[in-house]
Amino acid sequence: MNTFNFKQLLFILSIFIYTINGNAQDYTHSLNGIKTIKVGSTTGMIFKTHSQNELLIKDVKARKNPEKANGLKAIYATGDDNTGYGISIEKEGDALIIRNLKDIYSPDLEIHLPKNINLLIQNHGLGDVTIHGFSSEIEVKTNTGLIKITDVTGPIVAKTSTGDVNVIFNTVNQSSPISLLSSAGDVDVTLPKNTPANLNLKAAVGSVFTDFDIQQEKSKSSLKTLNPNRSIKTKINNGGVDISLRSSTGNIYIRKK
Amino acid sequence: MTCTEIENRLIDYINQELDTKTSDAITHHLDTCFSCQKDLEELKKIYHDIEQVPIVIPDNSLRENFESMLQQEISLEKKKSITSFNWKTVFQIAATIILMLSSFFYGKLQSQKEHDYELASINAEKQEYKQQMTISLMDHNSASKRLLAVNYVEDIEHPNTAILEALITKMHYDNHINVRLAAAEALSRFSKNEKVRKALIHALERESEPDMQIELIQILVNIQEKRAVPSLERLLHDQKTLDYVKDQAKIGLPKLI
Repeated sequence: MNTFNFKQLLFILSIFIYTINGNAQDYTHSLNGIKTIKVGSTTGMIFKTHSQNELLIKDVKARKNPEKANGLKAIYATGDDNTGYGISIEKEGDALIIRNLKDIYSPDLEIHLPKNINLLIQNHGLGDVTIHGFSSEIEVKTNTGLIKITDVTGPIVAKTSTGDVNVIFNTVNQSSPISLLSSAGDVDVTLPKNTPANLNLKAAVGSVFTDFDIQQEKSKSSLKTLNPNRSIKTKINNGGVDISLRSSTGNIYIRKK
Repeated sequence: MTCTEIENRLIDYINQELDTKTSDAITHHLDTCFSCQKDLEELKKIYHDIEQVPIVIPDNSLRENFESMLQQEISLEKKKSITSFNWKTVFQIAATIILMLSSFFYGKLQSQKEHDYELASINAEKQEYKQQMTISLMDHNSASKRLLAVNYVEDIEHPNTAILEALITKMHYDNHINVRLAAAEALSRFSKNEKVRKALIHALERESEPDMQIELIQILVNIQEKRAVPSLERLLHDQKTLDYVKDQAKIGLPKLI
């Protein structure tokens, strides 16, 4: 009876160990002395938070080189693959620079980081950028990709050419300005209803929609001199941090929660 | 113990007011030091002489004389104060009071002036300091901090040349278009400055980002800068110009010609 139990246990344990090794192939890197993560990729990128002080790139197994390449080293135009997964990681002062060296059709990068690390993200391809749960400073640039940022505090500086920018703040850090810009997409922002802020809203040919109480200035302009730059500057909750929202051809949405 | 230290304590030594340790040390020193022995002898002699002087006790006649003199003086004063009211003295006192008051107020006035002057110079220093801080903040790593600096400039009533030049550099070269747009917007407030106008014209000539093109067109039309007409026409005829930028140029041109 006893020996049987022991064998059974060993068997279950070995299966368990095998599954860990087989499936959860994550790549980790220490973040000692690192304050900012700079990431460049042409694929989509997903950023989540975890409690360890390390960088974790989720499920890198899918990024392995094909079997034919066994014994060979991949070389890329954009940098040195020092991880073996088509990703280059370099330290530069207190910043860690991560480059996705693979093409625009390679799998998306999913990166887990501590919530207080600053993010500087550039996407020059087609992919979207999704960020969730950070209380640090975030800078994002994309081409066509959607920028979706949720459960954050800012400051945020974000720009996309043809994508939308969607940001849901849980609180708004008052220390430094927020600026969100989409050339041809919409800018959609959700703020806690008691957020103090100075809003600078500009939809060059679009409209601005909000459920915040906004003091409209009485229109003094004659029909001829209708304000050509269509910029709206106003305060909510008696004013606070500068929040600038712009779209050249899209709309601007400011929601309260 | 040195001779000077001993010399300072000789009086206490004679009066036996020292602790035994110090006293013994002095006795020991006196055995060998001739000059201190001499000092001690002299002191002892002075003490002796003082004791020899007889104490003189005044007799009662002196006291009576004094009291009668006092009575005389008091009665004399009383008579004086009753009989004569001295106008001259009153004038003298009044004049003194007036002089004191006027000098007090004059002094107060002067110090107020000085105070105002100091305050003004502190304010000027503060402005100067703020401008320097702003310029250095414009080169911060964080785009949000650079926006903060650009927004500061809008609060400065008379920015100096250095700060305007820094702002112009931001408009031309910052790697975040969000910061470039904010810099252009801030500069438009100082459009009376010829340097700023030229920079705005120059910016439109070389600009390729559609969002910046729109912003610059609107600013130049707003400030009625006719020298921008060739740039607008070029944009209109350039195949690379995006349609919605061309539309802005089309709306703007007639307002300048």
